[in-house]
Amino acid sequence: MSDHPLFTLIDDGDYRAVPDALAAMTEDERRAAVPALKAARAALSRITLWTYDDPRRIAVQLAGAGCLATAPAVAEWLLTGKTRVTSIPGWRPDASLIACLFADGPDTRDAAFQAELVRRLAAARLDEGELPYYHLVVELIRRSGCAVPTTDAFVLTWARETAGRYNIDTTPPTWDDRPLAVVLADDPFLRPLVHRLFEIDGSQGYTELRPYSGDDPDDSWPAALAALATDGTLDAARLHDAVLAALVRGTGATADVRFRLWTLERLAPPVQECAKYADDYVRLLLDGPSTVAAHAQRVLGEVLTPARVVEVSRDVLLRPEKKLVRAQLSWLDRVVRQEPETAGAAVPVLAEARDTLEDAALRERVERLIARHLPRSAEAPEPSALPEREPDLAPPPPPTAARLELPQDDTPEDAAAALRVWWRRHQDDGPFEDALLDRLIRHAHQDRERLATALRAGIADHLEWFSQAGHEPWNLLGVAAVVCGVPCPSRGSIFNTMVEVRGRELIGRLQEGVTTPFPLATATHDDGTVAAAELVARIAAYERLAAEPGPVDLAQALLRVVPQDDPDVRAAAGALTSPAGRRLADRLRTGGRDADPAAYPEPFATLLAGPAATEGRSPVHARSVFACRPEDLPCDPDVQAEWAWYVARRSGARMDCRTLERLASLPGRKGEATHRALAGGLNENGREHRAAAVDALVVMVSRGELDPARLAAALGELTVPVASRLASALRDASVTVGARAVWPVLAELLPRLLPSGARVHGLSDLLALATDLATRAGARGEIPGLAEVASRPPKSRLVKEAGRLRGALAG
Amino acid sequence: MIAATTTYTYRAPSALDAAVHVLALQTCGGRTPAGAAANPRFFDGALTEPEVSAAALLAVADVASARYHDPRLSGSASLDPVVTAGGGRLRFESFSGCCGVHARLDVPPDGLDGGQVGRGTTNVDVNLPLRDALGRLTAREPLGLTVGPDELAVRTGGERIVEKKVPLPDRWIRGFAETSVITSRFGLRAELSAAEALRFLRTLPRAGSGNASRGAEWVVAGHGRLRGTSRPVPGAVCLPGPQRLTALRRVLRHARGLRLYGPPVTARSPAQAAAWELSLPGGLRLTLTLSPETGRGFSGEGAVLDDLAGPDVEADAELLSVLLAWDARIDTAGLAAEAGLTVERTRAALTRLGADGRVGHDLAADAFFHRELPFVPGRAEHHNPRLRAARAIVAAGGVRGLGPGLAQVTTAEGRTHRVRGEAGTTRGVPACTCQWWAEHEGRRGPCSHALAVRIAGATETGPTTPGDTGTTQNR
Repeated sequence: MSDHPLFTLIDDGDYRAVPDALAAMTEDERRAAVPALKAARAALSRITLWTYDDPRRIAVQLAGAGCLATAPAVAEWLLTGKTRVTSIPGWRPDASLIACLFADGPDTRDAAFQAELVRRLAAARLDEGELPYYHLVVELIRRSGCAVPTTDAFVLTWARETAGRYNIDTTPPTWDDRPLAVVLADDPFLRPLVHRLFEIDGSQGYTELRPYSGDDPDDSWPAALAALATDGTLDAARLHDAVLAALVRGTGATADVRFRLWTLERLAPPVQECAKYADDYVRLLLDGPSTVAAHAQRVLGEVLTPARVVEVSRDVLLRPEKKLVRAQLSWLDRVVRQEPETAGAAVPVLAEARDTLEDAALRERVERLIARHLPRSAEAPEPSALPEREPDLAPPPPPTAARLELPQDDTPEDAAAALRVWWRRHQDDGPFEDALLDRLIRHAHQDRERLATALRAGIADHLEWFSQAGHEPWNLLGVAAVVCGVPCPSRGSIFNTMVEVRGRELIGRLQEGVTTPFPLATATHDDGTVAAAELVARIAAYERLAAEPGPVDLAQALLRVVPQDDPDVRAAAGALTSPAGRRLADRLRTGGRDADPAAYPEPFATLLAGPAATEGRSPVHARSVFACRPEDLPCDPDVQAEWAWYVARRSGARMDCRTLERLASLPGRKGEATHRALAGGLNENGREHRAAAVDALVVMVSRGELDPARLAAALGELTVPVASRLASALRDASVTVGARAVWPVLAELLPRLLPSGARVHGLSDLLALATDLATRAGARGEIPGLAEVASRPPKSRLVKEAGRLRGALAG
Repeated sequence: MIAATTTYTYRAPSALDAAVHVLALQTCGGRTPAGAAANPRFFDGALTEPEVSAAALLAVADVASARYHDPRLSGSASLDPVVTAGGGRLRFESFSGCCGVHARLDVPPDGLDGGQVGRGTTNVDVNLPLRDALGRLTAREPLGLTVGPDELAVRTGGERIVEKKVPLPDRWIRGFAETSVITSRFGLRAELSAAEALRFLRTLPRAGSGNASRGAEWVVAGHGRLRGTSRPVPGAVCLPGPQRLTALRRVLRHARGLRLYGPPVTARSPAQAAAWELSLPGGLRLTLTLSPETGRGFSGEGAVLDDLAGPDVEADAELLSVLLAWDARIDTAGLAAEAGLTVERTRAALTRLGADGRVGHDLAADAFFHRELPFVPGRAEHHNPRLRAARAIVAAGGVRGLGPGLAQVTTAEGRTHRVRGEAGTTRGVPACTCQWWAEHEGRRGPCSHALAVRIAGATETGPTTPGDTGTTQNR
């Protein structure tokens, strides 16, 4: 059969002539051509970005559509495999497919075939946002008069095609100017499909007429549907029901909710209609998103009976949206005034609401309502008890740093393998590099030849790269290279990480053959510090070998040591004789504070001098990020806090709250810089970041290192304090450490924020928190500026909260 | 990953009949004490808290059709919840498409009214019109509930048969089953009032919003309040992917309290799974169990695998599976005594059954309950020789009842033994006249003849056995 002219056309890729060739064949010839067509299809190339518009592929598709007998076969031919071509630029297969399917005239395929094909094609998934072969399906529906499919893909494509105004398939492209309502009124698919539009999530993307400029309220789907409902083309009641059901179902993203609500608002059904759906509107008022609930509240204002209003108010007054609560209170007030019998049921509802509301202004309003509507014989409901005084609880114990374990029987081969791992994954990992450097130097001291052999065996390719590269780092790889005797280029590196700074010194010592048993500065605990006893032992070992440690190594060790009050350690340090030992003894004696920058080599001098001197540019960077890492900085919380603060300010990034947690756990005095960084962290925007700052605060309180006055001063100095964020952060902190620890901070902070000129966002939240904490802590006393705010004439929430705080403090 | 396509066949779609005010849930093929059943019937009565039960059932159905990891794909395939009936209570369970969230609604005897609760596990049909109707329900008087097809429909045969072909990935099936095993290691970490639960859950981001976090957060309770923390402290509960708790929003209004369960946590723990349980009026409880990360499912953890590694675990598990009868609360000590095993072996065997999806774990009661997930293929029983012999006897029809508590068993070799239940039992195990029993006398559990009587007896009685209190009793 392959010599039939049809196959010549296919081989030439002349798909435009295929319909005519099919028309020229008899039915038997077409059936007979099917096996050869299947072979031709198998011989086609796979669909890729470059081959999807292969003319042979299109020709095979069209020929198959014409020759196959059953609808499932045609559907499979079109939708799956190598003959699935839905559109190519400038041409769509739908018209040609119609011509092929009906090659002998309109009676070629019977209605059952067409209906089945429509059903199968409509069940396909969306392809780049539209149903494949949509126009073919529409034409088949028109010819056969079968039922309109209601699958998601079909409905969405219909929505877009119908409302689409710009038709690019005609030349020149045409623009349809008619209003949408007119277009829809003529559309035969409107009635079966319009209700599905509200059931499908994501339909909003298809009903947006002007995606880039926003919808014109009068030329949009909701307006068009409302117009059609008004003049009777659409059943208004059914539409109302569909939209309401979709809203009650509550699925879909915010855009879908907006679309449905907009339609409902435009539809504006009459009050009798809404009364029939009162239960649904009540459900929307109770559970729906705030915009939907507000609309439901307006609608129900004319529909509900007074008893029902009171019943519904119980749950609505618990909603967090204040606008809804205020509107509900006005509504309840109006209802009870009209029907005084409901006052008996309304008062308990109001009492319950008063106990749960946190906003003092709303609470006062509820109190006024209760007072106004209380039946004469009844008693005023008791307000719920204020929070009790908290017992004195100890804060949770602070986390302790764990000791790092060095591998016991570490062989040079293990070190070489670890070096390989470091190269792949851990090139910016401070603790890993620290430990690995220690291992390498130890092995180099004990058995340099064995280490060299292991390294040459393990990382030969890296070493080769090292010797040829121009700008390579002087870090661990440099140490390995020196051990193996690979020549190091002398040009230096573009990075300046702390490992490199130390590495340069160690490489120099290795090259000159100076005895270096191990680096002094390797951390012993996982927060990057070195135990004093351990450092004394290390220096003693150096003294036994009559070796002097390098200046950079010694400086890093001294800045990482944790001074302890242990007299044994001090005595042991005093017994050291070398200059390094004496420096250590001095440092331990002074308690390890206030290191003098002049006594330390670069880059430590710059680091200790602080970022102010260099405007936040740190002399050491990390490899991937140009800020310095916490592991590189001296283990002094204030120094680290200053650098973190400057980095955050300079790069516009948020304060890194993980750093804050590290800071809080470091031993050492926490001064002004730490409190300033903590204040910045508490003011952060993200919930997780604030949580980390609260953790740091908790750790500081549990170590007794928090200075409330300093923290309050730092909070007061923030450029944009957002009091609501501070309030939630401090409330969270009081959950763990108790109100008594947090109240002093607030007591010092409020005088700074309260003065009449200051416009601080959310100050009323902070005052509410202060009242809560003061009650729980049993605090008394005066806060300067509070009385002045509380006696201001406009009764805003701020004034009311200030009044409450005054009352709580007065006892 | 093999995705087996399971077909659920219902006699009719589930519906909420407004005219007679009855919620009719349809069941498909599942397991009952009598074996596999096509459309079992479990309950015919009423729900005492209609609005709350409807909202909670909708929450369970929401989780079944949700994919939290990639919200764009939600709504593609809706998987039907699994209902377990036994011990006078109903439990509805579902598992999300991303294998990350497991939801369970427990309806205790207080929440049900006026009907006998059968025993068994099957799927229930939850379709879009039913969800609409449940969402719009605002009833004050009790709502009728039937679980299972109408008698009339069964007799006349259904024309309206609803068939759903659902692909169930192996990962999904295993995750569903393993959730119960993982929660058996949890302890109660925090208990909060309704107001605090409302306040905290309202501050969490909604699903699909831009603020949804993929990483793990932790919450710790203190002074009756919850606060978020960025790293684990002892007593903290992990909250991995907080947007996955939006399934609770439907019932938040009715909540009476919140409980948090989690594994023991140290300062260096990685992200963990956690269970959040809301208590509702009428004794109903809605529990959401979250996997350690949003994109990750539940996976077998080290402690679980230790239990499964014992030499006799398979055999013990099969033995226990015969002794269970859809108990709502499995008493481990009693079961151990009945099977003649130590408590540790029983626990290991229960873990094995849990990994096969044959028991679930109830956190509030801190006990397992028997349920057989209908889509887990039955295991071939090669491992327990007593069970093999018992099944052979039953298949050959060798069991004959002689009266209450007395039965005569004929083995394949022609020997007859008499098995006596109720009276003359030692430690709850039926006595027999065979040689094996004479030697061991209940220290090793029931002999194969007693097992045969038990299997045959379970097949004879139907799924609704009145007066079941839910604990394993002497038989």
